[in-house]
Amino acid sequence: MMKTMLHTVNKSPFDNGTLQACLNHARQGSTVLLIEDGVYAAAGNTAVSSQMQEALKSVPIYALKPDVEARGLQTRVMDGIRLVDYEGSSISWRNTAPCNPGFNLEGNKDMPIELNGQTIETDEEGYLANRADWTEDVAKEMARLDSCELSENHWEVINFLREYYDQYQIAPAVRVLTKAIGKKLGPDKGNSKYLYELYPYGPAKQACKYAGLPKPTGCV
Amino acid sequence: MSEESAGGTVKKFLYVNRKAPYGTIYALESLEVVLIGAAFEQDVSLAFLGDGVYQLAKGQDTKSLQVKNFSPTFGALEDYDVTKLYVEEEALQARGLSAADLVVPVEVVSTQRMAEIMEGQDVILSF
Repeated sequence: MMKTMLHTVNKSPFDNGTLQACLNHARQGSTVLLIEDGVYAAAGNTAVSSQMQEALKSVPIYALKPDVEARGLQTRVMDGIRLVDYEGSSISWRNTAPCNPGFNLEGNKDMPIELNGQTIETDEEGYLANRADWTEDVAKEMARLDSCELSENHWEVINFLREYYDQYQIAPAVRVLTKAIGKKLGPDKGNSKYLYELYPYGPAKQACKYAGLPKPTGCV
Repeated sequence: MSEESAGGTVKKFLYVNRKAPYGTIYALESLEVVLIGAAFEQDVSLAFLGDGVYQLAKGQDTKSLQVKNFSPTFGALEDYDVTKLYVEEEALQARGLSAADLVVPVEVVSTQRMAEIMEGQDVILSF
């Protein structure tokens, strides 16, 4: 069955290759919709109009009427390009449910850490503002403020996260952390039960905080 | 195209990367969306077209620019079960690059093949 695909172009064809890229990938059965500055491609007698005419032989091209009107192009739209209004363009976006924050690590929330006479800045959720400020003592102090004492097992996870960040420049999501810990430290440790016992507020979130990393990408 | 699994419906998602890495925020945002989206355990592929192939070029060093070099992060995608990376051959050639110049293993495909890959998706997010 031929699949219908809607390609949208929102940049001026004279400023940018978006139109070209779109026409390269639009195939029979596809539809092209010009919106925002993309509607400039709908005007006749331009440097791109012959290319548009060629494309019209294989794909239908629409332009969003409010955008055409806003740019004064109503009378210049070339034959074959159809105007549609917002109701005509049935593009729908499905919203995804937000991650549940469930966040409860508030030992040093909203206040800097004072350690050995130094003040260390943190963000509104208690994560280090500057990764370079991290030392083992900073980690211990953050944990102490959360009423958590760091054991060898805790350090194993913290060190793992720091190495992961050095290599990939991200703090891994919890699912990825669990799998990667399992690969490195064995299945007794690469499971959520073990990790949640160590870090009850969420292994990725809590351990990343003590590791001086930003909150993991994957939870907002 | 989509199929039912124990965790619900799995759809085929394609993230299309068309921009060079540091001139705009699109490339980094796309990667963040991919990583966040991975939590939903969908069937994810990434496509690199046009200047998007510059995102994968080896040897990026952003120290003097004082922004994050996110090219090493592409190496973590495998941990996120994102293993289908398609790069447009014509885009590489036009920029004097080959697969050997990229930070991760990819599948190099023609524009024609890329169009077919796009047709096989349920959802396409273009950056």
